Amino acid sequence: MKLMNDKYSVSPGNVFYLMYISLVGIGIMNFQQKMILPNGSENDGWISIIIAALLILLLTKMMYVVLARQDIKKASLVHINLRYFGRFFGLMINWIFILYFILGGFVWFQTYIQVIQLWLFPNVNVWPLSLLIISLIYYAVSGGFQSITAICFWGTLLLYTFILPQLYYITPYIRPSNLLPMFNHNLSQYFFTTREFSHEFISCIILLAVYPFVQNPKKSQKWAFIAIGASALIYLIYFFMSYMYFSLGELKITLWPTLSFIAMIELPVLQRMEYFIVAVFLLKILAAISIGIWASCHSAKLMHSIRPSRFLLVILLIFFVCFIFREPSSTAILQDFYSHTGEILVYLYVPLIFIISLIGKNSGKTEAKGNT
Amino acid sequence: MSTSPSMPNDSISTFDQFIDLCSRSNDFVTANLNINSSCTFIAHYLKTLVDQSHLEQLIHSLQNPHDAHEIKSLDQLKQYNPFEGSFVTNDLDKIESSVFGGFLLIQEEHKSDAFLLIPITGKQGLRTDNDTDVEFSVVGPKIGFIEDIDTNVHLVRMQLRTPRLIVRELTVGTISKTKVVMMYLDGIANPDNVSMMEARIREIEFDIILDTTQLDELITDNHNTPFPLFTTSERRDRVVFALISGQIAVSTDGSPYFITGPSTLFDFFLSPEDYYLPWVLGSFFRVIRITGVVFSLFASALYVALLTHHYEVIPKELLGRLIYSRQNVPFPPVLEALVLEATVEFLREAGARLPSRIGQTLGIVGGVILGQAAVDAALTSNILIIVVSLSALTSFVTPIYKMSNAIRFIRFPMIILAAMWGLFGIAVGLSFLLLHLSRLESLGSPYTVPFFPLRAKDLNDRFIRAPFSLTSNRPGYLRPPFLKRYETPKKQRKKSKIDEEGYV
Repeated sequence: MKLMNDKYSVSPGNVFYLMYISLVGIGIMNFQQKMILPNGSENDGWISIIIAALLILLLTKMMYVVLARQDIKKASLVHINLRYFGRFFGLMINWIFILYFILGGFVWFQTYIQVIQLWLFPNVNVWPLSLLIISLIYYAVSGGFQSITAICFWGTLLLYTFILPQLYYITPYIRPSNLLPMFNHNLSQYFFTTREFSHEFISCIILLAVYPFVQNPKKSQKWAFIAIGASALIYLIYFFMSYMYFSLGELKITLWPTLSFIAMIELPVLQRMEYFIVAVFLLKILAAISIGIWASCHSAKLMHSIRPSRFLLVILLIFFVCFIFREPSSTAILQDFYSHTGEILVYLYVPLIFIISLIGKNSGKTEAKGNT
Repeated sequence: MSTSPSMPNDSISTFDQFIDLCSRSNDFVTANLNINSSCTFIAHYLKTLVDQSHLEQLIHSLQNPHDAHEIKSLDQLKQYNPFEGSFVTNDLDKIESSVFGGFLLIQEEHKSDAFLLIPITGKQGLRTDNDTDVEFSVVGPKIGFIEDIDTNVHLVRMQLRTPRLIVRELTVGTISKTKVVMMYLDGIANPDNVSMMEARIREIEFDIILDTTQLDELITDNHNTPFPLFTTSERRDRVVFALISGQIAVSTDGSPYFITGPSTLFDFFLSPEDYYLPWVLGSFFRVIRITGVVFSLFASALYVALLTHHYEVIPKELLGRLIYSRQNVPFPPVLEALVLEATVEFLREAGARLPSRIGQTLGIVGGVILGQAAVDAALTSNILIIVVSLSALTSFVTPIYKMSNAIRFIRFPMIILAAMWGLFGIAVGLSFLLLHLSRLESLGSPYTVPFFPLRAKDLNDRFIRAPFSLTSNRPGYLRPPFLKRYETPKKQRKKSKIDEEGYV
């Protein structure tokens, strides 16, 4: 039985790119900052990265269990909420998710433009830039799920081909002794760092919306896990690189550690490689924003049969208006708000529906039996 | 009859009207054909369309005394004439298209209810030398196609000696009634692709098909893209290779080009020559080609971006050279680059329209003198001349001309984006390009396959030309019903010499 035309769905392996793009955000440029004292665990932050990754792995497994226990035609975020929370509360939760995805997109959008302003063009007029990015988002999302997956693929590829090889040039300058002494922080500091760092991973909830568009979705679980592993690895690499490159004192005053140490690379024809990284990162940010917006458009379609192309235009208009009238200080507030909402949604909502689904009827199995 | 929307309606309802209309042209001949005493035939034909020697042959054979007195009707005439494909009809539509296709029209005197049509089409004026002028290769066959479709099909059939090679003839064009030929290997090309291609050709509403490339645009998946979605080729080996991989080839009468599809982006970077060289060299040339294209896309844009916005990216030794070379140039880098790039385009366009002998002169005047003078007059910098001419050069490394056009076109928006937003502008261009490529489809299958959607098994013959031991399967993205191309010999473990050597 085929649920969806191959023209609209993607093969299980593509879950890797989708998850990877959601997990590795713009935070990779400054996550080291969040691990600084007084509350952070500084050079022991790698423990927090591993713990956070394991936690997300557990939550992803929960999501897969929940999804597997749904009727295969209704295995999506929208239907799950409608099923378990009733029509009224279900719709409400769905709208929270829609707004949450849009907010996430906006936060990345804003942060990225801020990075461009900081690193590339301090005096640039930003609204043409935002319009450019918004039109790219429109082009990506209007192409449907396959074009989103494509941009995720290119984003992942570029991240690896552009950024990882550059670390080779950093290695002569690193001082492993910066990591010592190990385990010299107290438990509350570890807890704080883990909590702060796990904010990088909260977009993993996108899986619930993406799931129905994957062929043989149950097979994709492996790829989602690999994506979590790969992103944890990327964060670990950057963590170690920056903590070994900078001393703690330097890190405290370095706002964008990743970009700062990449700035040291000098090739015979080029230097200041962070210019390229910031520019190419557009592809990654574009992908991350597009998935979120696609998910909200699609959820709106499932709930109220709103035409996604119209809804997309409305969202982008909101983006533009919000961006034009934003306060300089709002970036950090929005970011905080987004992180804390995400915390609730990921760490409370996912286990909640996991437990409910375990208690409730397993519709996934009966469906499978009915087929055979 | 003849109610084609593209022509005024002549409203021919009788045969006599048709003859009257035709007689307005002086090359329309009406003659009596006396074969024997018992009956007289009247022949009509366009003398400019028929082959005189065929006509003589026909008359000669009909005057054979043994047969002559037996011919009393059109049907008997049809039996005795030596040409294949003659038929009797009274359908005016058919008569019109046949007469204007070089058929001889024969009627019995005083009778106009049935007509015999004999094909004696002349093929004078067609090119017969079939060198591959456009897609030249140093190694390998130099057999290309010509403007005659039958010869082209003959050329392909000579290499694919199998009944599985299906040739479908279709007619396209309300006025030109051009014969379109669709070829594929039955059981190897995906049937869905075949039916989709046929449906698209049948749906075409157009008056005159002048070239296969026109057909390309009429059946394409996306009209608003500079990228060619079907491979265009005049080389026989290329078309045969496409057929054997499971693609479909289409050509029209009067065009030396075949289009093959479904194509992918990387098909445009393959050259048949890759397969005639050792795989190491073939791969090397392919990598050169691909890096050349990437260079061509971004070189001028990078120059503009770095010099306009981010001079700090350039190391100080190089920056010194750049400043020295640009110190007298009064223009911003973007103007400098755009003017030079445009000059290259002017040269190419003028060179393409000129006879080759004048073209050489033009190359010297344009390339050498103009470039040198521009630098001496301090209108451009030396380094930009190097960058622009290199990127012009590298844009021509793609074996398919249509693709190199697309690449040269894309450079201009890139340069403008780079001038406005520097490296960020280039990233916007790159993102748009990747998105656009990923959204493209050729005959319904994705354009960027096997990269996205990723198909690891098909990657072996894309960036590099894999050795023949690895290419025994057809590319899977074409969804061929029969995957295996040839058996690879079983690997025998090769012992290294150091293990073997010693006394016998």
